[in-house]
Amino acid sequence: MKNRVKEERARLNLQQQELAERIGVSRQTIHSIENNRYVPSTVLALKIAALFQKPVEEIFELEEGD
Amino acid sequence: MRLLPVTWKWPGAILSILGLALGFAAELGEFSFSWLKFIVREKNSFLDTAEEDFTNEVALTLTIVGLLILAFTRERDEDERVRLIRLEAFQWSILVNFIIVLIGNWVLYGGSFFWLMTFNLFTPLVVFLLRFYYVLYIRESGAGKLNSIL
Repeated sequence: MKNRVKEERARLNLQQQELAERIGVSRQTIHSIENNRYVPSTVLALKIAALFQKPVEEIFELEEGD
Repeated sequence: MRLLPVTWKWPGAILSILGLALGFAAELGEFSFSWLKFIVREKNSFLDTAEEDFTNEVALTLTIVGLLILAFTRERDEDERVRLIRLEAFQWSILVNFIIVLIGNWVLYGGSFFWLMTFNLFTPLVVFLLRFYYVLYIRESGAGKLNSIL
């Protein structure tokens, strides 16, 4: 699954740590999501999308093979 | 599953180290506490003596309780990714444990196999802890450098 978390975070001028604190996870989890090493749960994906004020499909996108 | 608060880590570590030290001293150095010896049978038999030394029972209890506490204590930044790593490390430790038992079954006999079984009483938890902390703090650390070496 591809995601645009890094781009959206840059748009809001947020550090990984700030984003992590706002949605209640560790900075390392944000780092892992941005590097496609961890696929977040539906709840976490919805929290991220809500924070960026965008539909979840605009942040997360299925890839071939998913 | 609810986990123990992070402050339980130190008690867990101390208990397991005490248990392991006592266990090795009791099994290899024939160390025992005289106040832990009790008469539990009327007379000696071929396999069992009338007097039972409970030092190794205490050692195994301390080891298992200590390791269980360590394994079931949350991380300071426990979140869903850490929980997934935790569950995968448990799966991994069961797999590795039974591979070791299967290999031991064919290459170790008698006393050696008995030793393997003795260690096996607590090694699934040790393998879990090693795997969990390896993945959490080395492979997933994002430090990059260590990751490329390992």
